[in-house]
Amino acid sequence: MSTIAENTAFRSHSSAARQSVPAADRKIPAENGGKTEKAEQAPILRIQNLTVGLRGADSSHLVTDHVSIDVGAGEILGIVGESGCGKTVTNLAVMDLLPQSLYVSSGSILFRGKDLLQMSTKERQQIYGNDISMIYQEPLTSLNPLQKIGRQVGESLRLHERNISKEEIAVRVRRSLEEVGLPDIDRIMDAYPHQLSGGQRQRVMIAMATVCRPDLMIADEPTTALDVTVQAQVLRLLHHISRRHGMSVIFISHDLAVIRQICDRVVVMYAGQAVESAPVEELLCTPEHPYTKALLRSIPLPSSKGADLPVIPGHVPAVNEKRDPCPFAPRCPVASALCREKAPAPVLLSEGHEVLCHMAGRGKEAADD
Amino acid sequence: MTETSENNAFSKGTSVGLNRQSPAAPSDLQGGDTDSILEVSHVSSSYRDGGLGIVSRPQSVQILHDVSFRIRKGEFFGLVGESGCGKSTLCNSILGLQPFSGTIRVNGTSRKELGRKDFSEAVQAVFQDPMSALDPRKTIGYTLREPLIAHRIGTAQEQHAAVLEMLSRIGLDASYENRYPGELSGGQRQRICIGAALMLHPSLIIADEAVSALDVSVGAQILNLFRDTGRNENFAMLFISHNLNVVYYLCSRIAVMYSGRIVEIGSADDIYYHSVHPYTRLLLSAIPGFEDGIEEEEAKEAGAERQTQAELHKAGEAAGTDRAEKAELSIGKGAAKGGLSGQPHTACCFYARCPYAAEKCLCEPPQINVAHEGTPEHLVSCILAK
Repeated sequence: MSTIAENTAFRSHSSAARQSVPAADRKIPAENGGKTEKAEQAPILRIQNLTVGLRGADSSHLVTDHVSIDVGAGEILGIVGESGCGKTVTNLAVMDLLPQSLYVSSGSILFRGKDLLQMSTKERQQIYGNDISMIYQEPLTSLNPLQKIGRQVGESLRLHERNISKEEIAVRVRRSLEEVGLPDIDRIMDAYPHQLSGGQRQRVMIAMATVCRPDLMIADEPTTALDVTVQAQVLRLLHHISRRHGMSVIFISHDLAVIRQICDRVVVMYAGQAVESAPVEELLCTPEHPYTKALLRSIPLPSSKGADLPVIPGHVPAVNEKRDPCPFAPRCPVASALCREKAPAPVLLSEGHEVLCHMAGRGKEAADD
Repeated sequence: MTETSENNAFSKGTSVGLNRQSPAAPSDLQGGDTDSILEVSHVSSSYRDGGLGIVSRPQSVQILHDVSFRIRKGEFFGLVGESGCGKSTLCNSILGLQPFSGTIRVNGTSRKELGRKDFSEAVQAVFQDPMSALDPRKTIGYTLREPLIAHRIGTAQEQHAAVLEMLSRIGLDASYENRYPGELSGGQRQRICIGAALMLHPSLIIADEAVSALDVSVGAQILNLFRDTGRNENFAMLFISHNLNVVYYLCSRIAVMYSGRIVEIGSADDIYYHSVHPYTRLLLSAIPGFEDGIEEEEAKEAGAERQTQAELHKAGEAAGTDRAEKAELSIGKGAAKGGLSGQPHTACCFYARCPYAAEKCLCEPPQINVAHEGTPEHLVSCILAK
């Protein structure tokens, strides 16, 4: 119990330190100043009740279960959760890259108001790579080992921009590589992926993903395979590019500390559901869902040295396992009979802070008593 | 002073000579006798790069450069560094999976003297990916019993009882005995690996990135299990990781490796809060924390940097640094490189990336110094330590 108190104390302290920074400085520079403020009004991507099922299985076996996520223009949205919670599947559905065994059973994915799921293949091809791009965890497996970097970076330009001259492609590729901070661009453009280091490859991936100036980039654990020092560089770079061009980013990670560093808003996923979404500060300081609370407590922090780390009992239910209406109920310290009978509905606690829990908001009353 | 004698001074400092220099020091950390479980002294290791036929000639690439340290009884010893710095090579050398020069002693005897069988009783390892460490066609019960069978310990009944006891110790119930690794989750598999490593009651466990592949909440369970093991048994652990937070949480002493050398060694608090080597600082500054987002960080950095620069400028002047003025402790200039081509062998291994590098660093390898007065166990190989 004492650890919990300590941890919370630590966080509220850190939040106090943060608030001392003037709000104006934290927001985007003049170029697209008002954009994130109005993010909620005009989401660039709107995932609504997205349900992904397993082919050939019972229709109750859901990989994602009515997930609704909005991404505002210019916003960096973090999606956090343990392995198998559906973070990647949700984003693969957006990119129309779901493996054969999975299918979208219901829901819609609106990009600039148009449903990606209803579009023809041709229309979708216009969007992917041009307006929405994606980077992955392991850059080496997503780069073609037989093509030079310059050619690979220019590929989406050749595909999407009609009547573009070779010279212009070269100029834009060069600009894109410069932007991600790669040194010695002539050499890099002529190099093959194996000749670059891990950090350089990830930068090339980012250059590839941004060369067409997309409105939305999906980054699926882009720094997990990198060293901490390189990770810090890549995070800064992503943040910088997003702010400079007003590009929205969906940043998937299992590391809350990384999310804390670059995201504006966070969605926590558990067993295929988006259980809590809130601005990053609010989520870390006043988490409301019991799963978010437990997740935050189980991170080893310098201040918790020597103490036992509180663990979450039980395990994440597998896709084919029978679940309670609230999938977290078996592991939840505050679960009641209600949680095992009825699925919780989303509760809006404050602006932008939504929780999928019957107990949401009741914690405070209990604490006051 | 010649190069060799300096190197000797380093290893003496970290391994044997420490006690002589500071008889009072060990009690600070350990409280009691300091007989060591693992002694690594002057270990160097290299591999032969086969070359590409006519394109390039075979050559020898040195991975470990004269590494020396010791782990005491009951100690959790952390080893951190970026990928490619030689952490795993060191771990493999200790396990006898990799040829090396120098001596590695476990409980005072080397692997050669002990023989393979006795050695494997004393030293066990837990690796990063539990699924590749377990045999998918053997039940959990058999996996746990296998070490006992191989070492012919106990009768079948006794072995069975020992397996059940181990299962309960690692927090799994008896029904898991007849399951297969494929039926378990990642965290459960890693528990089985730890259980199998503990079956022979080893005096040293080497955990090479044992929690890196696991989710946060599962990783917490494994860290707790390691801690409990440390409490219950008289043994030591070498915990290798690239995650400084986890190492700080678990370990009482930490060594930082760079380019096959130990550049800084000290108690967990020394390293975490009073680090001296620029590389350790770089690592620490790169940890994503909950304190600052990137935006505030950049704003703050300007202020903090000026301060550190002023500090280090002073230190630099003392050491004859001429680059301290333009020194920047921003994250990583250049990438981690194993071999420093184009640099004389006498240079400090961190020269290429170091923001405070001076001419002096290029001419002679840094000496091993005590980082701060009053902490004789905190050693650092850098000219800034004075």
